[in-house]
Amino acid sequence: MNYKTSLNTCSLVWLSFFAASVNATESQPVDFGREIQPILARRCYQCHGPSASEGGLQLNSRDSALAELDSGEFGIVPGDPAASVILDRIRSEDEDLQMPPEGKRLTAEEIELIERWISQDASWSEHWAFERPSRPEVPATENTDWIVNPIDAFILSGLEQAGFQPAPPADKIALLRRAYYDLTGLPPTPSQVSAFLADKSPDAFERVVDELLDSDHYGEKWARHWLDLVRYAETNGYERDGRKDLIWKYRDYVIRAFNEDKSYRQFILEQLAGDELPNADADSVTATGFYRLGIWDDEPADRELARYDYLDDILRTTSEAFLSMTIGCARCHDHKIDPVAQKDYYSFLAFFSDISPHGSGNANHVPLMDPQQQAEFDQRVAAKQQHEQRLTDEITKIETNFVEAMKTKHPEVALKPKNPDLGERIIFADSREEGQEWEFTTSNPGDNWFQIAFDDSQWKKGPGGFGRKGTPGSEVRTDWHSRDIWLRKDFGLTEIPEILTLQIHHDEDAEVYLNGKQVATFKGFLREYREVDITAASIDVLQTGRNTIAIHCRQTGGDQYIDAGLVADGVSESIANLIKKYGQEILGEKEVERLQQMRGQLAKSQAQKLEFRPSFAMAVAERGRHKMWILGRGNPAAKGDEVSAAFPQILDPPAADLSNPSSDAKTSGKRVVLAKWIASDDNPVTSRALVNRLWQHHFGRGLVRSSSDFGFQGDSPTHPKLLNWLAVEFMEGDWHLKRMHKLIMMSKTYQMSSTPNGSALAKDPTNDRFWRFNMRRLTAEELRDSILSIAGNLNKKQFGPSIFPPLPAEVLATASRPGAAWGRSSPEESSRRSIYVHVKRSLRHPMLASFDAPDTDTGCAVRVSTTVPTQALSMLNGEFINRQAAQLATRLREEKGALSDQVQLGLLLTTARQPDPATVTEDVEFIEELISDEGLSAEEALRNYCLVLLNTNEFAYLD
Amino acid sequence: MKNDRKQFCRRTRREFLWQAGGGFTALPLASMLAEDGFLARQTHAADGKSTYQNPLAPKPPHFAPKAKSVIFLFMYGGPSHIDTFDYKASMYGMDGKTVDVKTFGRGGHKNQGRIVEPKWKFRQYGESGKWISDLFPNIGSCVDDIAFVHSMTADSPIHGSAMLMMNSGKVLSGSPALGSWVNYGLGTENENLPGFVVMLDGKGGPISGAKNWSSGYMPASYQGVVMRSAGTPILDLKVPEGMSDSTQRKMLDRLLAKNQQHQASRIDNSDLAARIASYELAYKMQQHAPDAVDLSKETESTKKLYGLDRPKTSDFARKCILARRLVERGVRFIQIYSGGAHNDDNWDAHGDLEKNHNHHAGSTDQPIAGLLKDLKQRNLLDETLVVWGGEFGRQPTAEYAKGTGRDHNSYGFTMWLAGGGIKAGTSLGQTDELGSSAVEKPYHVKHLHATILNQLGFDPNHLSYFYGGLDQKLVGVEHVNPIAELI
Repeated sequence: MNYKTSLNTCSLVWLSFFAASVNATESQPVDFGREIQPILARRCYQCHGPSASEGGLQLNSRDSALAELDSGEFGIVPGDPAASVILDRIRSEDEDLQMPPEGKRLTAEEIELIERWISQDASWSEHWAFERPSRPEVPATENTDWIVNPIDAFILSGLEQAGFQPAPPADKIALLRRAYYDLTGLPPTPSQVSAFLADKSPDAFERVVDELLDSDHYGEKWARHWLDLVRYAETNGYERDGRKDLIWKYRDYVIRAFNEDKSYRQFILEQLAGDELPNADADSVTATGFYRLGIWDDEPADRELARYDYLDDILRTTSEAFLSMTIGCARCHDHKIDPVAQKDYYSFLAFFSDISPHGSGNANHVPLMDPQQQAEFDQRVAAKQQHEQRLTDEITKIETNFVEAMKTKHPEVALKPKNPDLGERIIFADSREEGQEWEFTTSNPGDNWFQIAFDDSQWKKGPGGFGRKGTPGSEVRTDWHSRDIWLRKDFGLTEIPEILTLQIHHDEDAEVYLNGKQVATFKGFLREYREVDITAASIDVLQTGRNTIAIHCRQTGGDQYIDAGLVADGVSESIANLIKKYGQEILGEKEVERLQQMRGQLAKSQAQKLEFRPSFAMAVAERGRHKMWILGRGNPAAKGDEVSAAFPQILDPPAADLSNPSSDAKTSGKRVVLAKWIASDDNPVTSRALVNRLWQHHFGRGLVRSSSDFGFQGDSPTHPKLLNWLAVEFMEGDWHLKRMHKLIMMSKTYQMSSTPNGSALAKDPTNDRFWRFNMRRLTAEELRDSILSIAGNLNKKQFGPSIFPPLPAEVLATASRPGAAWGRSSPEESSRRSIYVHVKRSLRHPMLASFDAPDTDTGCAVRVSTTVPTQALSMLNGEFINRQAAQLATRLREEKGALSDQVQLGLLLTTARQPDPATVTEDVEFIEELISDEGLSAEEALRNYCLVLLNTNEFAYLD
Repeated sequence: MKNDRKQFCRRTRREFLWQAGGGFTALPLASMLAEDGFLARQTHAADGKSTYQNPLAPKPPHFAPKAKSVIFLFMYGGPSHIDTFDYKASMYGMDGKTVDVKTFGRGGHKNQGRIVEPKWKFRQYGESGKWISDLFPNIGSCVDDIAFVHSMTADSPIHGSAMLMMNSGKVLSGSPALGSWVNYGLGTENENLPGFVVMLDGKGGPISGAKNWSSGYMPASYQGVVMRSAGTPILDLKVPEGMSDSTQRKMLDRLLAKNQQHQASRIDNSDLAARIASYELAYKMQQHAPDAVDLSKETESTKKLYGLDRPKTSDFARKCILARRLVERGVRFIQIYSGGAHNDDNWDAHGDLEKNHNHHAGSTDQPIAGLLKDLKQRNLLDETLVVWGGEFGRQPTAEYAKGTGRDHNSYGFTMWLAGGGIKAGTSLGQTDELGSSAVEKPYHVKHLHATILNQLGFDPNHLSYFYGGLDQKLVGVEHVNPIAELI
């Protein structure tokens, strides 16, 4: 031991001199950040990283990496590979010694790199992603003709170093299709193609790019990329997979933001804190729908854990989408590989801790109107209520008289005849005879109080009815004098009743919920119990086993009372029916007429829905102030140190200034602090993350392939300087996207052909250096939208509630409520663009899902592109494709007379190219053969030909 | 000095492997799926990388497997273990008695309840003398081929999250189903059929529908394919009305010619070749897949064995026969649901326990026994792992003041396995004397998953997929061992 150490010390100077002289001539300097750190992170950090130092070796900083080991040796000795024990261990063939202890060995190249790096003095640098981008110098290139803008200089300089030639320019059609799909997701029409071909001026393509960037379809295409990242969906998932009503407004917000070229800075601020901005408006509040997009279990087994799961989902989405960091991995312990401590995770989570819980129905709806409008609306509501109350009083008076008179004049008529076949079963009685126990509270219970799984253990218990003694028709057993009361009661069902009747007495307004769904609403007050059939409203939520009824009653003054009961399968003859039979006799013609008139007026008034002036959006809100702790192993029961909101330390951030609540003090003001830091020029990651995504969606892959993970486990940038240059350019252009698109698309790099070049292909098959353009398949949405467009069916209507294109019965049958699984849209509505198709988590549109539209439970940064035979089945035999093929055939026949002209148009529509005559001839022969050999009609044959066209690779792939 | 150097990490590599639980057999596992570039090929396939691999191409597991296929008989809704396979002799005579017992179900946490004694008699079967309830006389006749785990536990007693737990290992939505993991790990032997097949109850899908066979964050190609046991088995398999085979063939030939012409100058792009091949595969699927569901070639005695001839059992019998035919054709993972939709359309017996379980057991007992016997007589049982169970069990006490309905119970329940190298004729673990929770050798759903993966030749702690900054695993980040006494 001593021997070896002393030997190494003696030889250190000589060795490093030797190493330096050899390497200076033989090899390039090693780039630590790009070449060494990824190896250390992926292969060593598990045991020798930020949260582990087995044997005293810790490789995540230079100081710790050079420190003496427990054994007294040194893992890394700068300039001295022979003394650096890690080299022995990664090279060792001895099973007991070799490192890493499991998994694949390091490759010879990796070992050589590490050795070279050590001999070059083991220089260290910050991980590329965590340093602020600065604008690098644009490199000089030998070939200067190829440089249109600095992008080309960065790309060409890399190609020249490798001895590659850039691919020739793409032909006009390939470029046109590429541009149309990249910016709008739709194919160019034949007239757009011919206009571009006819334009011989040098700026013809620039004009196309400008036009496309101005097109409304640009937002529809680019919003889709964003929606993938934020896992946009319109239901909550889980058992009931309830709808997120109005969440489509967020989708529309995103489309508009892209179309308006809203600055990305503003886009960030609005989504994370649109409600907390000083100039908050309908648009910015709608943007905070961002927080409501995730999955939500309305009946979790562990309520507190579910709350943290909900916040965790927000944290993951925020950090991956905006920062390209996987902070979520530090929930249970310090990140094993990235330098993110558990404390960073919970400090980040603290920004979200006050967000109000998720709920069903309109629980997360936030009004989008100003206070004056609100007051006007309230007034109109009050006037309507008053009017209806007056009528109800009068009607009740007449009916009461009638009932009284009936008792003496027709004692033989039971007022409530029962159907002996069905029989009436009381599920739970109202409290007229005997007080029934209810859970109740008179202080606001917050969101979700009507949900089946709401925890009402803190509520009081007491017998019904509730109210003020002396209220007409009441049987008060528990006093209630305050303004509001909330009641809950569980009941069991062993079977689902055919008819469900609610017996209720309310003074005044009452809302009744069954298993979380609002099934009845009552305005005004009664003077006695009444019966209401709630079968239709309840049938889809009733379940055997536990059910929960929940009632909210509110009064303004005077008497007050609430009580209810539920009866199964009882059928009673209504007073209205009895009045039809005996009204003339008992009340007289005039009175009956007056009654009917008033009933008509009441019905009319009730039917008249007051225009919902205040519009709502599903958006963020906060409730209360909640502390945050570090949770041991992520377990809410193991609360450790308390933390306050702070940014991840690795990014060397400023302290989060949390001293200012939001302007209206409704919220803590924490989110706006987070948003401003993310959207700041000083944030080291945000701008790079965004320009990398822009690059990704133009070139098929990001400069960093793992576009939501810039950490140690992610890929290194293939062109780090270009990435920095773009990031700075983007910030200096005030964070606007459209000029970046244009810059990229005007470059020679973007306009290269995708044609392979033998020697480059052999040396760089994955096109790391961008020696050509990458081919790609149309995305699922592009495929569906293009088919509709080519068939002449695409309905270009924008915005609004989502659509429900028809789905095959076999797909609907997979839902637990097959009949209620999907909505219905007219054929016209069904032909709108795919971004407007309803996104239901438990029932995905089969064609979109099969062509790799991502699962929406988690964010998706890079879509995979799979090819499987079931795709071919749906493209050959599916109802949608066959219907569109038939429409395309009709279009061809309507627009062209001769078969060869029809074929030519079909080819032009699907490929954007004027076909060569040989192809047309062959296709015409094919159609004629179908007619002669297969006995098909000309119409059928053309339809089948159209089906072939829609399946060609030339249609489905872009050069 | 050599000794010193062995202590470099304070432990040797051998110790590390032992501690990691892989044992020494973990050594040849070095080439893990996530590391061998398989994933990289998938994510970069769209970039025009030269080597395309069909995501469903057959792949070898980590080590020689005991089982080649899995048939998961999913009793959706949660069958009552103490009325089926978990014999509680002392409960008879206790009916109506109020006892202190901690339960947690849909009705929340309770500390007391009224006993509903098991509503069926139990009798002994087979050489093992296993007590089985009269709900399952036919399965009773197979007990010597079955291993029971009486001490199963799960994280949730609520259907939605419990179903996700049993199917994907997590109560949170978004992770791939067990069948997707198998599909990802093994691919499919038969290119004419999907590798992961799901057959649903006629009443509808289970709660959360397709989430139960979703591939989550993995590519969609690994998700379960819903197969119908009659008519057109797979969506869009049937050619459109009025199109003859020869017409379709001509169309495919024309498509092929056009695609080949397009490919000529783009020969390096293997995606184009893959898509061309996918049309030929689709054509072959159309020819061969219907044959898998064509039961006309089954003998009368086979049909009788499964109960295809009885109206009560014919539907589930058809699915069980189909499952065997799929196993014979190389399908890796088949899941059959007994019960669908809501309430008493599945095993969720909140109301009349007897009516509910008589119905669901009555329609599945003979088909399941038929499946076990048929697999055995064809020498397929050894390489086919059959798993029976629901997302949880049911409570020993009544849910309401009246009636026999039982609430959900995830503290203890029974599942059983047969074939696929599982130690037959054994019973493992115990619940307490009321069956309210597992007290002896409790096992979690993760252990069941680990056992299934193990029998298929995977180290459950190494079958991983990189997503969201982590090597994701079916069994989670912490090490999980298969149930040793079963294998």
